[in-house]
Amino acid sequence: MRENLVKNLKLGFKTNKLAVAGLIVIVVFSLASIFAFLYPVDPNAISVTERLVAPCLKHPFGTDDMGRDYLARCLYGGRASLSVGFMAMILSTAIGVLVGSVSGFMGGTVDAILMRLVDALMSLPTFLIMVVMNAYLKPGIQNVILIIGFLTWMGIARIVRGETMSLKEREYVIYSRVSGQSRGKIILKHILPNIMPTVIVSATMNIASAILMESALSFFGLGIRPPQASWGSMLSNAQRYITNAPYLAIFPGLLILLTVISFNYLGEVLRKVFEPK
Amino acid sequence: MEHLLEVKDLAVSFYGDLGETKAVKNASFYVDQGEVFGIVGESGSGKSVATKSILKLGPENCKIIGGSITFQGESIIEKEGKELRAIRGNEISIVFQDSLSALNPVYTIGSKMVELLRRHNHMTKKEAYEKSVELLTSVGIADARKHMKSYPHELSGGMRQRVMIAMAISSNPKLMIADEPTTALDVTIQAQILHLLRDIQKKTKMSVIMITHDLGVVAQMCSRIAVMCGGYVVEQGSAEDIFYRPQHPYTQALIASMPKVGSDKLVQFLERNVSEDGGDGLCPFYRRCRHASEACAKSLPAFYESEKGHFVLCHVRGIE
Amino acid sequence: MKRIVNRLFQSVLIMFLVSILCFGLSKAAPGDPVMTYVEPNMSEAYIEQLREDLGLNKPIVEQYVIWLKNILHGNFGNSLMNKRPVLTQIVERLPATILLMGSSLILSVILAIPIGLYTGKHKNKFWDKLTSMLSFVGISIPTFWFGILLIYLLSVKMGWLPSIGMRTDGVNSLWDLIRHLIMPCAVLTFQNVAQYTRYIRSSTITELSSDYVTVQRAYGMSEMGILFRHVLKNAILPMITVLGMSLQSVVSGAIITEQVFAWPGTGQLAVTAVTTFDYPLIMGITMFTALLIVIGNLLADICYSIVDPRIRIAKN
Repeated sequence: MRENLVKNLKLGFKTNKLAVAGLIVIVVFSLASIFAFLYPVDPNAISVTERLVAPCLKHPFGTDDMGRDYLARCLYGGRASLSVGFMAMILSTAIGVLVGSVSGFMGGTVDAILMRLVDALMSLPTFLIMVVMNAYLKPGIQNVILIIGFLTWMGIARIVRGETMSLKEREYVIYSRVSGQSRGKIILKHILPNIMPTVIVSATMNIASAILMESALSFFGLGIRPPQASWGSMLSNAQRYITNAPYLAIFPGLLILLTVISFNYLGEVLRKVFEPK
Repeated sequence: MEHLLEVKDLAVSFYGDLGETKAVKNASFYVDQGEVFGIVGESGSGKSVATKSILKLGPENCKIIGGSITFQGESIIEKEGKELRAIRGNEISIVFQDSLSALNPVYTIGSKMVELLRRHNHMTKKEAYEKSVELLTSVGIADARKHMKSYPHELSGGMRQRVMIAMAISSNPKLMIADEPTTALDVTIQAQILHLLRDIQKKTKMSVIMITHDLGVVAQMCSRIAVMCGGYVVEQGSAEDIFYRPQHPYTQALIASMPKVGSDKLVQFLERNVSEDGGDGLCPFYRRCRHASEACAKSLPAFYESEKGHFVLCHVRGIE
Repeated sequence: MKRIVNRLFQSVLIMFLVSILCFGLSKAAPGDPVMTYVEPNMSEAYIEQLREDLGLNKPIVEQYVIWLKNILHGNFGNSLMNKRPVLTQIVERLPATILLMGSSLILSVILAIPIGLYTGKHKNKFWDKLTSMLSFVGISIPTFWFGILLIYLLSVKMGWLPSIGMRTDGVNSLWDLIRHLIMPCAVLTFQNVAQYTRYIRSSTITELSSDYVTVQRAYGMSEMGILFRHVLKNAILPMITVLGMSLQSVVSGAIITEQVFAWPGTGQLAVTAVTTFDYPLIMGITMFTALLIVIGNLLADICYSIVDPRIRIAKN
C-alpha cells in the first residue's frame, strides 16, 4: 500500500509538470520567508530620500511610498502570509477532523446537531463575518489565524464525516468495537489513518484559500496591519500609486497568485494520486 | 450461404494510464440468419468487449486493433458517423445488463421510445406514441399507456428490462445483441425475460447474440455457442457439441462446475488469477490447465475442426 | 415536501445563529456604545438617563430579545454615523449590488455551460488543457489584485474605461453605466466561470461515460444529439445547487470588487460600516446578507427538487 502510494506519487508528479513547478515554488517561497533575515535590509526602515524608487540594483523590487525596501517587505510579508496560511490550515483541519470523525462515528443526535451547525456555518457570508470580526477583535496575526481557522473547517468536517461513516461499517472496525476497544481509540487507530489522504488533499487546498482570505482582509486594512507587512496589506497602498509606481502592485500580487495556484495544483495532483480512477 | 454477421480475428485493446491492456486478443465467430448464438465465458474473458465492438461501442480509450467485422456483406469497421448510426439501433440493436443506468434518469419512458422510433422511421409524434404503447404492450407491460409517463427509477428491474427489449425490437432489427440481459434480475424474473426473448425471436425470426456467464441460460436459448477465455474464442460449435462433447479443457471445466440436479457435489472451478493467464501468443488457459503439455508452453495452436462446425483451439483437445 | 419543510426549519435556525453571532460580536466590541450619543456639554446624570433609555442597563438576554423583536418588525435601528435608518441605507444601495452580481452571475452561467460541455467532451485536448490552466488562475487570483491590474491596464494605460464608480457625474446614459460596469463585472465573472466550468466539465465527463450514453449510441443517436439532449440536462442540474452554494463566495467577491472599483453597493457600505465601527449598520448588513444567502440556498433546493424527477418522486 505504502510503496504503491510512493509509486503513484512519482507517476502523478511525472505526468504533471505544473505540479512539480508548484512544489518548487512552495519550497522556495517557504525557505525565502524563513531565511528572510539573510537579506540584510530592515523591512521597516523608512527613508525620506528614497521614496518610490523603481526597481534597481540597490533595491531589486524598488521602494514603497515611505522609502522602505520592497524586496525586504515582500520577504517578510511572505512570512506573514504563509504562516497565516499554514497555521489557519492546521487549526481548521484539526477542528474539521475532530468534528467530522466524532459526528460520523457517533451518529444519531450528536451527528444531527453537529451537521446542522456545519450547514449553518456554511451558508454564512463567511467573508463578511471575517471582515466584521476583524473589526471587533484586536488586530494582529494571531486573530487573523483564529478567525480564518474557525470559519473554514466545515468542508473538511463534511468530508471526514462521510468517510468515517463508511469506514465505521468495515468489518475490522466492527470487530474492534465488539472486542471492547474504546471509541476514542478506534477513531485514532482505525479511522484517522484511513482518512489521512482525503484530509491532506483538503488541507492543501485550505492553505490556498486561507492565504487568499488573509490577503483580502489585509488589503482592506483589517488583517495584518502596518507597520507589519503582508502581501495583502502591501497591496492596499499600491492601488493609490498605481499610476506612477505600478510595480508596487505587481510584485505582491504575483507572489500571492503564484503561491495560491501552487497549492491548488498540488492539491489537485494529490487528489488524483489518492483517488485513482 | 453467407453469414449474417462474421467476426474474424478481432483484437481490441484499451489504452489507459498504465499502457495497453489487451481485452480481446483473437475472436472469430459468425452468426447466421435467425439463429440464437451464445457467447459464454467468465468475467474479464472479453466477451462483452468483443460484442460491443460489433457496433464500435467501446469507451473512448478502447480501440479495435485488428481483424474484420462483416455484417450483411459490408465491413463495419470502416463505417463512421451517419453510416454507422444507420446500423446502430436499426439493423443491430442491443440490450444491456443494468437497465437502471442504461436509461437516462431525467426522461420518461415514453419520451425515449418516441424519440427512438422517430430517429429511424418517418413518423409523426402521435404515430410514434401509439406505436410505443403497442410495443410496450407486446413485451408484456400491463398499463403501457400509464407507464409511458413513468421515469426509469419508478419501474421494477424486470419492467425496465422489458422496456429495453421493446426499444431493441422497435425497428425490427436483423440482429439483437443481449449483453447479460438477465444477470441483474431475480431468478423468477430471469425466467420471464428469457421466455419473452425466445418468444420474440421465434415471432420475428431475428438473430440473437446472447452473452452470458450462465451456462444454464445458454442451454435454454442457444443453438450454437462460442466459449471465450482470456480474450480468445477457445471453442465454438453447436449446443450439443459443446455440452456433450466439449473438447477444450476450459470448456470441460466450465461444464463440470455447473451444479447438477440430484447431485450434492459442487465441483470447484479452478481458481483464476489474472497474472496466471498465458503470455502473449499462448493459450490463455495454459497455466491453469491440468492437461498442459510442452507444446502449450511454446505456441498457440491453429483452430482444429473436430467435427463439422465444431472448432477448438487446443494442442491436447479431447482428453476427458 | 418534508425535505422542503426541513430546509425551511434549517434556514430559520441558521438565521437565529447569525443573529446571536451578530449581537454577541457587537456586545463584545471594545468601547461604550452610549458614547456615540454623548455630546460634550451633557451632564453625568443625563448620560445615565440616556443609557437607561437605550436599554443598555438591562440584562444581555433581554437586550437581545428586544433587538431581535425590532429586527423582525423591520427596524434595524439607526446608523451611528449619519443617524439614518439602517434599512433605508441598505435598500438604497441594493440596486447597484444586484446589478453587479446579477449581470455577472448570468454572464458566468452563459459562458460556463458551453465551455464546460466542450472541454468535457474533448477531454485532455489542447483547449481543455488551456481552459483548465485558466480556471486554476481564476480560482487562485486575488480578486482585488485582478481588479487593480484591470484598472491599471484598461484605465490608466489605455484610457478605455472609467476606473471607479458607477456613473460619471452629470452623465445619465445607459452606455455610461455599462462602461463603468464592464471591469467589476469582468472580475467577478472570471472567478465564477473558473469555478463553474470545473463543475460542468467534470459532470459532463461522468455523464458521457455512463451507460445510458452508450445505449443512445447503440441506438444510433448522433454525438451532438447525445451531448445536447442527454448529457446537457444531466450535467446542468447540479449547477442549480452549485449556484446556490456559490452565493456566499459571490457575496464576498462582490464586497471586494465593490471596494476596489468604488462601486456604490451594499458591499462597499459594509466595509465603510466596519472601518467606522458603525455597529447597527454592521449588524443590519450582516443579518440582511445572511438572509439573502439563506433564501438563495432555499430557492436552489426547491428548484432542484422540482427539476430532478428522482427527487421529485422521492419527496412524495
